Amino acid sequence: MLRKRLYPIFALLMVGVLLFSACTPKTGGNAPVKITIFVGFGAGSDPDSMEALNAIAGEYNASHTDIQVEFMFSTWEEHTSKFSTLLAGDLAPDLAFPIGIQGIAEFYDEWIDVSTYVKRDNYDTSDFYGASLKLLNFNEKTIGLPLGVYPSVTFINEDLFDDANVAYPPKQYGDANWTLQKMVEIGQQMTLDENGNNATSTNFDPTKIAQWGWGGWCGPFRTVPGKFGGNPLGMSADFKQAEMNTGGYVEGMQFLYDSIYTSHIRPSSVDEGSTFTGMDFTFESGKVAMFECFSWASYAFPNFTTAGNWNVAAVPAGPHGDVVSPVNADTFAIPAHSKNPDQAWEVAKWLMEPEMQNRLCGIFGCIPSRKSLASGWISNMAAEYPNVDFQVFIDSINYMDATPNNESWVPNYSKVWDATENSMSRILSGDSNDVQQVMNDLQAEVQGYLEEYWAAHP
Amino acid sequence: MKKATKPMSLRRRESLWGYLFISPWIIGFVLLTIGPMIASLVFSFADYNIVSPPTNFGLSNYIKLFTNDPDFWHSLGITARYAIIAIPLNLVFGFALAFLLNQKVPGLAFWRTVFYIPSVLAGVAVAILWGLIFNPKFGILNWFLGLFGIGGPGWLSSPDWAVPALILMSLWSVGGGMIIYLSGLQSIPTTLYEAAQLDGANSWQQFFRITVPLMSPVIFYNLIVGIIGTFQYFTEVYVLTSGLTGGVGGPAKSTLFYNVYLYSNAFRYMNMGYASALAWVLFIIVLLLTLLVFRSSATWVYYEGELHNK
Repeated sequence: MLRKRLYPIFALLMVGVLLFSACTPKTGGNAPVKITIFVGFGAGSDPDSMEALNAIAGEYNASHTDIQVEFMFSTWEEHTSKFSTLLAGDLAPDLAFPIGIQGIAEFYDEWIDVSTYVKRDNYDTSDFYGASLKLLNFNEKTIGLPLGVYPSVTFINEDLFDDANVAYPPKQYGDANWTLQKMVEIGQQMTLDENGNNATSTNFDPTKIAQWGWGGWCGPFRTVPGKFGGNPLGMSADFKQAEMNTGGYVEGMQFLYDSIYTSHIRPSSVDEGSTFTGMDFTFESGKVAMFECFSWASYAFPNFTTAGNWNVAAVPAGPHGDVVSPVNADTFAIPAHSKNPDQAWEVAKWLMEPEMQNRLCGIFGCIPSRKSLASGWISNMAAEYPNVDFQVFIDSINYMDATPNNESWVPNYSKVWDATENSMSRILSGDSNDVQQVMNDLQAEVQGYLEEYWAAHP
Repeated sequence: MKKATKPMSLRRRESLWGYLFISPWIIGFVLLTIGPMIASLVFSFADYNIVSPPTNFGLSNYIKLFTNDPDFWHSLGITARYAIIAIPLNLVFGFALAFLLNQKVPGLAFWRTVFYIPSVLAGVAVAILWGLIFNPKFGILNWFLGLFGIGGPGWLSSPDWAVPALILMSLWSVGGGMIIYLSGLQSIPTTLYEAAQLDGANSWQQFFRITVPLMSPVIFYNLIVGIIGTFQYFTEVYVLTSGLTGGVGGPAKSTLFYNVYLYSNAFRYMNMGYASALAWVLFIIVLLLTLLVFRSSATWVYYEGELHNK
């Protein structure tokens, strides 16, 4: 009888002991420090990249006894919730890698300043593009070292240009004639309706467009105003006053609107959701003559090739003479909650070594941030796409929007991001044809977010 | 001298074992449901960004929600608009389908299976499937409309058509309600119809005087489930709109359903405190609507047992 009564108590005790032992951290005398690297803020979480990164981890672990690395992967969609849950659970990873300017901004207060390590180790940064280093400085805090950059270029479908007997846009920067206005002119010549009339023809039917001259800019809202003399921050330098309903903001959005509904060179978002379904870029369809995008579009280069002979050209100058190549960048960042920041820095340095940087950029599709690696990158890319002038990408680095960047931190970052993207979608979808009103609405909304932020951060 | 222990009675022993067997569920319920609910109630009164401990306890989240957040009202409006159309539509379609499949038609089992299967498939896969159906150029829906000379819209990329598209899509799972209606229809005694026929009642009279009243408890159940489900609407919107310009809830915030806005606050804006307040307001809204429907049921739901007890 007694034994029977003891069974439940014994069973509960066993469960308790097992749970306790499972939750107790293992300790060891000279065990290597494990550095967890969180992958999910940008590239790196597709199956091929995961395999390549795990192989790199294996190589590191085989050659180091004091530190062992382990990659932790997350999809882009889940990265915010997963990373914040790790922080909340006191399980902060030791590195976030690769991470772009947006990812840094999303968790702005979470990263340590690595400038002390740079100074301590007298780390040589002379090989990095100057602008790529500036990208990682946030209010005098240095977040990481630049792994790679993704400047923008104009992609062109040479077959469509040849068919229309129109000259290609220039590859060299500095051509005073290569402007947005010129691009619209060319775009209209390249935009055809189902009867073959181009957009300059009086017989052109804008309701039956079969080929577009321009696919637009693939970047988010804040890549636009810089081309029109605006500040990508969209607010005053002290981040207290929104500045989104004047100047480059209105001009840029009006240009976007006109390109769809006046000159008809660009498909609307409704067209994008129909004609170009299943494609990440309209350019993959072979029905778009030009479009501007970051070099991370490289993952779609095989599809570009299927669509026709393609090449790249310089980014055109805006109406005020600004030549701006919006840029994204990848780096590493060490979370302030990391328990092993010193070892994380050592791993980061290893990842930034030239040979490794070359290899990692091969995985992520970036252009290495070291000047010395540029020619090698061009050779590698040209071997795969001999028709394409990859020097244009390198030249674009000189025109990138480094400070401030189109992804730079602003207060209430994700809310401002959603508000700006929503405003652009109102224009792209035709939800509103009053650009000034859309921008006034945005101004009021963003101002509200700024006031909310400063009320909570006096 | 050692005191002899009194043997446990059979009833107590059985109770002990009973509690032991249900303890996994109780522990899970307390830790994973009641616990988080209480935690979210506490968070709803604080600024909480997940990473740092909650601060600034007070009513500020609720005050802001009702007085200074246009997106709260916007998302509530979209959800209400969807609910007002989708719930009755689903009730009527489900009932009509069940009524048809309760007739003596050839291949009845086949048709019942065909109409029920879609409700078994749900979530992400169905949303992706409907994304293809809604494709304005290649989708089957616009192709079908084209047969009648109608140029279909850009369903999901147009701010005007996105919500109607989702309402249309909600009919996909009408089979779930249908099966419940069907079981209800089959439990109606045929003697009632026979008696009505003897009294000279036509088909419409039989339908409205016998079928509908006797089915009212089932309609009532489906209405409650429909209200709760509609106010929890999330997965389909998230999947269908996350790739659009303007992001989740787009285009132009036209599909910013309440739960989409709640999710954004929790996991994009890191405002877990505010998201908790949104969740509790949603809970109150659904509770009030449910109570309202329960209160109204006295006037339109017919319970046979109730009548017998009178």
